[in-house]
Amino acid sequence: MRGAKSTVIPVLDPGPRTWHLATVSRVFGIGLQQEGIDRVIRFENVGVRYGIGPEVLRDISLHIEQDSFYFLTGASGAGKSSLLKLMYLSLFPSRGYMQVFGEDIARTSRRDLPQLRRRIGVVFQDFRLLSHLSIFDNVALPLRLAGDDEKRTRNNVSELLDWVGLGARLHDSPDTLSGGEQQRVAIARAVISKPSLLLADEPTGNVDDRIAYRLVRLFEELHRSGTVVIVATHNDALVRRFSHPVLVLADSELHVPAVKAKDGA
Amino acid sequence: MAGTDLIPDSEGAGRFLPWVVAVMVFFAALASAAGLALNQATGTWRSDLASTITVEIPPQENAQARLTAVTKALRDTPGIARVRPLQVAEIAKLLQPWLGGGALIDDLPLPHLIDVHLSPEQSVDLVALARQLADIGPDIRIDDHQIWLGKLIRLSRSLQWMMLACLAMICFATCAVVIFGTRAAFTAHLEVVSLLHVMGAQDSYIAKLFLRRAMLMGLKGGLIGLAVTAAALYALSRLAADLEGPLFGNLTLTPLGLLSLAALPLLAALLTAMTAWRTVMRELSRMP
Repeated sequence: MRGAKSTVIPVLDPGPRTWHLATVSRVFGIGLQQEGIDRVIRFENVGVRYGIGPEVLRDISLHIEQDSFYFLTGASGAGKSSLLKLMYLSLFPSRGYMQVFGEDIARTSRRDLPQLRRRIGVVFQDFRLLSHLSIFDNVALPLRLAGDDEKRTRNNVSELLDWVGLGARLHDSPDTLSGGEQQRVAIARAVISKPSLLLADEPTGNVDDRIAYRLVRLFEELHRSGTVVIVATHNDALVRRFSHPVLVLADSELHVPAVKAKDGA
Repeated sequence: MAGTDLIPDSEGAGRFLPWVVAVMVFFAALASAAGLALNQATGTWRSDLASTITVEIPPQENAQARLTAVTKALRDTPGIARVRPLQVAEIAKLLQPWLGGGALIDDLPLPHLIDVHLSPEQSVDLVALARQLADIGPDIRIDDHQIWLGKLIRLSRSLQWMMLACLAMICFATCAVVIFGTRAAFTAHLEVVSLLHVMGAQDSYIAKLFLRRAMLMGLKGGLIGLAVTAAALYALSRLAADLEGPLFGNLTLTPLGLLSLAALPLLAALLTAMTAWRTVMRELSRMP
């Protein structure tokens, strides 16, 4: 486990709560290094088309190594969501070679795909919280799907919701939360199962710059605990404030990532 | 959180599924009850009528002497368990529906009828017996009921096949309704399904959510249908009891038949559950 230093990052909402790395390490204490996997995602000449339409993604070749943190940018309709869908195995390529966690997806049986999906956390732009479930049950869902022990699930979910400042709202409906609070629940749900790969689709789309900055700092904290993070955003100003490499989608093609200097945080 | 809570109660087609199943179970129970009762009655008719014959002695001047001779010949025949000449009053009662109860019957020359019960242990050569009785009187006739019984059983069997065909069609219609209802529920809850899918839920896990819902609705509908059937069968049995006839008296259900009817809600629940399972698995197979 990396990151022995005790970094303190402010919580998304203004207030006294803080994100402690010690908590991150305890809750998400697993990394790809421990599993001996160097390459999390490998795409070779991947193309995607819907039906008989034109290719929305063309000749995508991409290697995502462990310990990576990427921004994925591109204009609306450039194919960011399609690329993320490929990564979280909700879409299969029309052509090309695709490997996730060392598994050749074309050769992976349908029965084995859920095991891979459970290692991926996804934060959706529209949160996709289930309004008929409580906040607690929404966050507990990935653990229950994985068949985790219910007592441990209760402890972990309560701790994580405390951590994101919603410990007092466990049994409320997500509909009663503000947009920012819903986003925190969505993030908690995405990370509760200690994913090896965290994908965030426009997580900063509905928040102001200050909250967006804090959100990316949170993802950095999760990254420091060993999770590979890819954040799709069209907020170029935000991207410039961090030093992480940027994947740029334009005209259905992916441009070579480049490590850039930090613009200032 | 129970698994079924993941799929909220449907406000659409699913809400009506129990009532559709109730109607289907009602029809299925009626068809089954009719089929089972006919089967029971056929068995009874076969055993009752196959073990009896009737000897008819046409009225003649020496009818009493012929009756005595025939009765003696029958009693001396091996394989005959019981011989009972019918009294005139009994014969008159048999003819009463056609001739009325007045003095007309008394004036008519009535044949003598002998009710003969055959022993189940030993068979009787009816051809030899007929020849022996013909020596007493060539017009003496043996009625072994086989032709009439054969027609009755053929009719009964045809009706039973029709009942089975009805049951098959009811099952088919139920499956069709469940498929459409499940597809509607699947589409209505596609957001939940997609989320579970992305989170790594196995297809079988998602299908079980719909299976449980369908099973509960099928069971609920089945119990409603069975309750209505029980009331209908009770009313029918009261009406049938008023018909004092040998045929309708046999239209009853055995304990095993009643148990079969009681199992219909379970079968309906099983059918709806398995149909929902297959439907959801098929829908999920279209997802990556």
